[in-house]
Amino acid sequence: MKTKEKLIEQVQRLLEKRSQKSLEIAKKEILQEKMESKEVNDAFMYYVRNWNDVVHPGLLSIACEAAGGSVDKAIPIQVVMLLLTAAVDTHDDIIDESKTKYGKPTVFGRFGKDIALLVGDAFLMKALVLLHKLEKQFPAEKMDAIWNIINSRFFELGDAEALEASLKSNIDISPEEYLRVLKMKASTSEAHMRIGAIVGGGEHDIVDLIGNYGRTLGILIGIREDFIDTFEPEELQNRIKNECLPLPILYAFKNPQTKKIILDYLSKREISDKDAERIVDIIFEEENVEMLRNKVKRLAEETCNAISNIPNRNLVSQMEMLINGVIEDL
Amino acid sequence: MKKAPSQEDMIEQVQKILEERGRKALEMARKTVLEEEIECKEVRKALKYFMTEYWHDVARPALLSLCCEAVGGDTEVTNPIAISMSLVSGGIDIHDDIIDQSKVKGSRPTVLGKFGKDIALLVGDALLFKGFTLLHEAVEKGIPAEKIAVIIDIIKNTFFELGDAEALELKFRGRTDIAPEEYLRVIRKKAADVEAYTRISAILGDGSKEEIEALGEYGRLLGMIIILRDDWIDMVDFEEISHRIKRECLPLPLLYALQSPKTKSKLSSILFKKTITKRDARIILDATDESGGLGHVEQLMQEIARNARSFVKDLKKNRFALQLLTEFCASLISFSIREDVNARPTDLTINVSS
Repeated sequence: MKTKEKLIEQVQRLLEKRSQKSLEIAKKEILQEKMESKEVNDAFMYYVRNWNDVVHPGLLSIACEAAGGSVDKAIPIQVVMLLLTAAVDTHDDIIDESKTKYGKPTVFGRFGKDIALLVGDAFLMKALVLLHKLEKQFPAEKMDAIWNIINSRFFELGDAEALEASLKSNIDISPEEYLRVLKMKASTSEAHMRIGAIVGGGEHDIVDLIGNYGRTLGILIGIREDFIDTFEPEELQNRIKNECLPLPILYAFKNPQTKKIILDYLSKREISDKDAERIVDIIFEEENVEMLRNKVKRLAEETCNAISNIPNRNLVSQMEMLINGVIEDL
Repeated sequence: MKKAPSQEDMIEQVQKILEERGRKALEMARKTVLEEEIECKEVRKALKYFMTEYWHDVARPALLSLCCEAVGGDTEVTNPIAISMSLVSGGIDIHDDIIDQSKVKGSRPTVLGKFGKDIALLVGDALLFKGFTLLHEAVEKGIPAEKIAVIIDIIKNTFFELGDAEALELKFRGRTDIAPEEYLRVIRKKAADVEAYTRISAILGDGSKEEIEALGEYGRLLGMIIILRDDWIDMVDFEEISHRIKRECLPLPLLYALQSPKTKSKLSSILFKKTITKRDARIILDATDESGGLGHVEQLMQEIARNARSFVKDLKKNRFALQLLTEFCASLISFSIREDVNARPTDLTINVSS
């Protein structure tokens, strides 16, 4: 248990260290936009106070260094991507009707749909304006590649959101169907790592290798979050009402008997902690869920093997630590 | 003495100018968006609906073309920017509909009305995003990078000003005590959209500093006229006035009318009703007219139009077309719509975010 915590702490520290500067700049950038509307200013301030996305900029920084670049080189693009991710997250919360996240109200939860929509738009605009301003810092072919990645991944992510929205509250979807959504949503991690590798000056094959790693890591993070949601009664209820059921539950539903038992619990008006514990027990006893866990382990091993060709050994071990940190709790 | 053009002649002339000038960019914008590979059927359908059936905005690209030529520029240069800005405007429009809960506009369902909030949000995002990424490609199409940088700053400032206006307007919902001046200030902010078009076109056409400023202010004033025109028209459209009372800020003619304690006391009970009937709408319209609310806005539009015309009188070209636009937008009196609460004058299809 102690080892597990240590690994997660290490991952967290690593990502924090690599994100700190860009996160500070991104916060300053958005707060520079003084609006007359008090609500919008308050919402910006609120977001900034709780803004602690260390994963995305951290991944970008790792990718940049793994491809041969310096950590500082990645900062301007980390800022752009932080703002872009904030835009997507704020709008996602409106679609998913997520009023709280990690125990805190979201902008949507605190300020309502209209302000959240405007705040998300503002983040999007700010990100794209800053990206245009980077045109002078990078050669044209790098900028073209970055714009292409952002464009295609953004559309893929929107596609994933729409597909997920169409599957909302559907208890009969297959795990494979939902896994496809998770794969599409992992386009964000892939985009961050691919862009980091380009900024770092990586050759085509290295960029692809790091990009593919990013996609798999994104899928694993998605699965991990689904496992975590299975443990949280409040989050689980939101998933039932406004989103898709978490992947482990969908795997457990492959067994009709298990499905019936779990559905009895989920149909309750309120899921108590005891109910949640029971659901977790049932899920973890289910053979299909064990298959999912094995699948996750295999995927992690394959990904770690694939990155062994990256010349910088220190970065390879950091990337392995990330993968292992993500799957260790499952 | 030369006979003044009839209302029909003016409509025809304006529509012809806009159509000729804006069609190409609109078609190119449609093609660009529809080329995007999208797996989700609903989003694909919604984008197609918006671009081919709903969004017929030739006015914005036409304005770019007219103003660019007005300072001696080549109109072709405006196309890449027109495509990009048109998509950004489309995205803003869809998001505004979500905020205002506008499910129908004119007689057509909006993307929100036809596909729901989630898809509308994503489609709006996609258009904003696509519009902005296309600006990156505009450099390859011959627009100097320095000009793109200036254009991007204008678009960004406009976007933030529009967002601010939208947020300020949220505070006006369901209120009968808003001072017309307060709302007029928001209207001026909302007109930033049209100013961006006219200012950018003057930059693209290599206009002088004075010309850029003059066209910028012209655009701001034209934008205000268009919003005021919409406010006026909303007064006589049963669906729109009901929606404005329930979900948005009250139209300016009504705000002016409510300044009179007598009118306010007469209309208050109707304005706070759960459902507005056609009879209620008629009472509101008559009371607004009697207390001078409609007349006040008409007069205001004429004043702004005169002011706007003064900014384009010294331009090299297209003075007449630009003046005609303000005249067209500001002339409502001759539309005999007061007889029928459901009638609407011809739609100019310039939708300033409202």
